[in-house]
Amino acid sequence: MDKLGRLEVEQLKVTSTTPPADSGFYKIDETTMGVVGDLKFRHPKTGAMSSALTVTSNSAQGVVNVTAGDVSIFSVGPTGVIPTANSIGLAGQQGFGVGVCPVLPVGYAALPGTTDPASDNYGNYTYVDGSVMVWVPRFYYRIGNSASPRYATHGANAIDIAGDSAFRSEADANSAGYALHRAFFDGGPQLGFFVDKYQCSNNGGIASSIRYGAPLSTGAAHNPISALNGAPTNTNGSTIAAAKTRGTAFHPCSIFIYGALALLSMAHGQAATSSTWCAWYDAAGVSNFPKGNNNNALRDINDASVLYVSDGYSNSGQTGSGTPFGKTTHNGQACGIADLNGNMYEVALGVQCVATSNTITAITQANPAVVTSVAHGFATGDMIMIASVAGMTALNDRLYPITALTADTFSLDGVDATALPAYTSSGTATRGAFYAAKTAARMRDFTAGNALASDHWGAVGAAANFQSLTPRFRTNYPNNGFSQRFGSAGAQVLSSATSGNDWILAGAGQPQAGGVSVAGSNQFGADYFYQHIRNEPCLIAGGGWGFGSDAGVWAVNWGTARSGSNVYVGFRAASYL
Amino acid sequence: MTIVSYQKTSDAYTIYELHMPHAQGEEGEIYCTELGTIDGLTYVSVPDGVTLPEQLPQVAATLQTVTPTAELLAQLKAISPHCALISERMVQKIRARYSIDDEMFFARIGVGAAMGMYQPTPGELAEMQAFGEFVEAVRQWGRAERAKLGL
Repeated sequence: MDKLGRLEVEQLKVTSTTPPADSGFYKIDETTMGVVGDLKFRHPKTGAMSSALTVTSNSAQGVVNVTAGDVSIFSVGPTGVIPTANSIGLAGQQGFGVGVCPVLPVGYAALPGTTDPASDNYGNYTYVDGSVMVWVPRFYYRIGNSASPRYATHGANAIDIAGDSAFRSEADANSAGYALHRAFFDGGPQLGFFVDKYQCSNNGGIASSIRYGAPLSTGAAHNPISALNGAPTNTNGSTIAAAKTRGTAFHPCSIFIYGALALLSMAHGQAATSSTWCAWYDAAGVSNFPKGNNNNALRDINDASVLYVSDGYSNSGQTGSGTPFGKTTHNGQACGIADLNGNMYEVALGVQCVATSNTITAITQANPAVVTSVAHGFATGDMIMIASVAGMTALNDRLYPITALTADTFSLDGVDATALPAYTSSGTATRGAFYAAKTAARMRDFTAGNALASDHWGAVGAAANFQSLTPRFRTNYPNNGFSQRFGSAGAQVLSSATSGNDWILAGAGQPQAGGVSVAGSNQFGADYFYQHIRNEPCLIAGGGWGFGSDAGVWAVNWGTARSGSNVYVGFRAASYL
Repeated sequence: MTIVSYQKTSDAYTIYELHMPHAQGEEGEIYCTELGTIDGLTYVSVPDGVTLPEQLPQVAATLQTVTPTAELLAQLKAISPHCALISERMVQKIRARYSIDDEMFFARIGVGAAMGMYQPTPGELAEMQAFGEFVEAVRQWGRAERAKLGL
């Protein structure tokens, strides 16, 4: 650990049992020195040797994590071992949803009250550029479990949150029905993440998280990111470069971080019993979620008491300018993360798609409808998107599962076209291969192109750093349009899977099958779910200042392009240890 | 600009609201704007050129295009947060050039001149002329902004 200086520890309390097999205080017996290596410990009473604990340094901030299996034992930073609970807190209570960072990286400083749950600055830190960032500790979640104290009220969408120390291992958590949230993997397991308290604004050429800033956008007319240092192009993908103006460790938030914050909000609202520690609490459950600037008049569509200060462009608001401020944060308290409902859509990394479009030359008026598209290359079970058809226009802008019939034809499952107007001409059928970032991938390492292994978009990057993902888009005609909303009566929206595809989707805040509808549900704020298939999508989250009830902590749009440029799309940055 | 109205309904899980279109990837986003609710009817302004998408049956049942009466327009102006914001911005525009004391001064001498009790000086008349023209331009801006909402 020459990077950190000499570390002297005579004994260490190990609480994991698998491995090592015996809990208790262990004395360090051997040490393999180096930034990456193993530590071994001998039990002072039994003499038993521990299994090797893995020492990893996956940090640009000078932080070393010591883990046994999937259990984090301790971490060492430039100031030495810093033991903390790394606690997410109790849902519904003071300080929930943020926490004290166990290892403060270089460049960060605590604020007065950072370690005090009663403080407006609890869990808040400043970075050298003046950005205010919030530490979100690692947590486990459980969804729709009948053992939940919230199950009687919230049923299949009851959320339970358990802190980092609640389980000795991820396997133990899984056995109890809890899953470790996907947001806590970034080049391996993470203790938590720093996330901007405010949407980024131009701070002398640096994209900073500063209150009362004018939010950056990817549109030339509205605080463009091109005015930042290095003049990033005004495209959604270039927010990656924009985030780097603060430092190499920073990146636009991933969709997993947005998923984690939305989940924390929902858990907090479900557990709250008054507005004391949750300013946006609604006992009736109709608008029990964070508020924001979303009614195109600097106010919230659901709460007329919320008011923002204009940034001078249309009805966009200054960052963090909403009052009462607590109503605009993810945890309903001043220490929380602001403006996740409306004001500006925010770029969300971590998911991409490689899509191809085929020309349609005919569609039969049959049941099911049969589409002719020469050499379509599709397979049975593929999900496709149809657009720009003339004549049989009812099929446009919808997603369908298909059955491949011949090399040139396929049927649209469940589509009875016998009563539809005849097809006349044109149209495209688009199929996409979706990908989610691997847990081993680091968000900060992504680049904004579509040709390199490090690129967040394109087939080469997909092969290097992504794994296949199957979104659970709604495909049952005629309810399979692009515009959906989160929630479908009382149906479970997020999967309770603890691994695999649906665990990734839940971590990204994306619905399982049957989790969206055109109307949406109050539980999820009827937040917008824009399903779409396109090449190189750049997901955006949260909604803009004029999106009304469509905006919200769950709102997501899969239809925006990497190359897109939008006055209502900005970003907030995040960083892992 | 068209104004439509509909009645929001709800069940145990959902409030059924108008399904509004959102343009994708456009620089100049066009919004449908919910103006407010009067006597159980929610009014929404729909920009020219925007076609509302297919609506849920719960919304479609009461959805209709409105030809607003003068009374309804006045009510909508009174309850719309957008009109309140426009009014606030009009005040801000005026205040950016003229202080409240300036306005009080023009009011005092204006009343005096109107009542024939005071004869403003040529300099005062020029100032009042400039003030009046500026305020009228701001009011015209406000009218144009409200017109964008159909009000």
